[in-house]
Amino acid sequence: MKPNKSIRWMAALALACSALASAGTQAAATITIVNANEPGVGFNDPTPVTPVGGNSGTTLGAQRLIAFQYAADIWGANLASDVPVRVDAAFEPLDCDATGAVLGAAGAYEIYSDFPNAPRATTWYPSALASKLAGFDVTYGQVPHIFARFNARLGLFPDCLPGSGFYLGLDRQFGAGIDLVTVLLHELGHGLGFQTFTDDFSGEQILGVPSIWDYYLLDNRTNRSWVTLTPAQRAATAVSGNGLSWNGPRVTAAAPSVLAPVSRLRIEGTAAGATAGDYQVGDASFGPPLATQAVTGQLMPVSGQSGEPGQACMPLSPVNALAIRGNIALVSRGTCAFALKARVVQAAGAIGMVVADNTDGDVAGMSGADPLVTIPSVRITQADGVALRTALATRSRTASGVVASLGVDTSRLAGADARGRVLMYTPTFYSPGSTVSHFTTEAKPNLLMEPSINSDLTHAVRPPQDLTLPLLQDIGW
Amino acid sequence: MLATCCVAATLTPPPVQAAQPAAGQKGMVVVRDPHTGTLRAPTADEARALLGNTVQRKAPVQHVETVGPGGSRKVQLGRSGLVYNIVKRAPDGTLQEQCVDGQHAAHYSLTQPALDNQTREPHHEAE
Repeated sequence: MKPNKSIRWMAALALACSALASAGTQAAATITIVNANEPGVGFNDPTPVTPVGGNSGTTLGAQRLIAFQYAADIWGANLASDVPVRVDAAFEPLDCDATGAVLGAAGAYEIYSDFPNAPRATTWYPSALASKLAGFDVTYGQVPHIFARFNARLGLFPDCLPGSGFYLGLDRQFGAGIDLVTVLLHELGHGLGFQTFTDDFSGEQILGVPSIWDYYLLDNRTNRSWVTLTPAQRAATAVSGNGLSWNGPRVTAAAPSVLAPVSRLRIEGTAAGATAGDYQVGDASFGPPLATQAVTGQLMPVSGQSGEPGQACMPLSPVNALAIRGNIALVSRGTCAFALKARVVQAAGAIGMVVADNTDGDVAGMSGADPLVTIPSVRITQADGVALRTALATRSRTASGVVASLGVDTSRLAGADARGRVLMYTPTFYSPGSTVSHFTTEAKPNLLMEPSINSDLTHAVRPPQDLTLPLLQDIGW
Repeated sequence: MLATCCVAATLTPPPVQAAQPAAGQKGMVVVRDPHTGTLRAPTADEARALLGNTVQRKAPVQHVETVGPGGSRKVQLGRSGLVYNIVKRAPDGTLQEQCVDGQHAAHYSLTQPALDNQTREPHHEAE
């Protein structure tokens, strides 16, 4: 990030926008956006703009502030606190060039332990939560609870990701833009407490004190809380591959109302042999989702054509078409988009598609969109694909004796462990800042606090769309 | 009922810190799907490529504790408590976005070449 010499505290010009609850209704919180920009820039940028997507601002600065206020209002309406939360916010030049940029950053400005009424002694809490729990503002001198900076130049200059600016509307019609409200909801979520202050790389705690977050992280393979582990053990769990679950009662209770059953490929039949059983699959963003009513048929491989290994990137030969007609097609990943493969096998009469990966690794999903795809598709690992192709080696032209069912496992939630606890993001590689302090990417539907923003998020922070609010309630909100 | 208002606020200025590597910060990354043009989460492989296969250790931060009245303890994280949201455009025109931890990781991520979506992402891939 470039040093910004223009940052100055403009207390006299500070503008606060708040969400308040009236008496007699569900408790809410006041979230105050403190405008830290100087005149003429950031929130005060006078550049005329046209109102967009429910954002009535007529200057760039006004639209930015309205979008901030809108996101703060959503959080304010869902949280309960008698102590206003102050967000020190500004739009300013942040790191960027023609191909990349920092969109923004936010987080807790201070952390506290052993404050009056602290539920746990010797435990770090973000200052906004500490104030709520104490019943008064624990900060000294009214410093902000949350600090937020967003990129004022994004998409507006040739040297700052031109053409890909923030969408400032409030209606999620962001098109090719970046939905600022969603980014704000996510980043403010971190500032409110959706994060550990323990180093997820080294496992070291700040000054040897755990974060309130850490009490709810559970090593689901040893059933031990993160706070009971050594730093090395904590670091290992952060890259364990689904080895950490959130052990909070509110999230676990809400998960069944938010998460869908996990998708499953079941293999059986007279010729299945050792391949019989259930397989972990990656879902497709195109075609119908897998459902309780499984799609079942003979699994038939698409054989190679013109030297390619059965990738189904071109219209199928008559022999291949005959094989998969009315059956479930097994194709190889590669060369073309997954959605195109689905179109190709669907056109040949397949009732479902299984894509076998062409590289080693964990199972992953398939993105892409094609409204004309009407058959379900899943993706399996390369190793599973090899095993299934071996089982299919002996077959007739129209049947294999290996039966595949594309359905769901109603006993498991997508994004939860076997006991229904929601998984946290712990990929098998270290992802700075993404691990531990986000929900798993395996959640279905996508959640606000996954490590990346997905286009299908709804601006909701609570069930039945999302689990962020229950998690914040678990830690004390 | 939710009400919205605007009020003037006078706050004590937080100390402005120089842009330095910091620990404890987080951010976000998205990618633009090459086939649909929409933003989406990177797959594991894309995320790995975005951040590089080499583990980027956060720069150490010296945390200073202040003990207040009644024994309460405070650490000011300042900008080191931030979570960064990064976006990069790949050669195929797609955008790749991710939450990354700290200014150090954010800067590192930006200096790494973005990959087109034939190369990969963390949970969903297009082909």
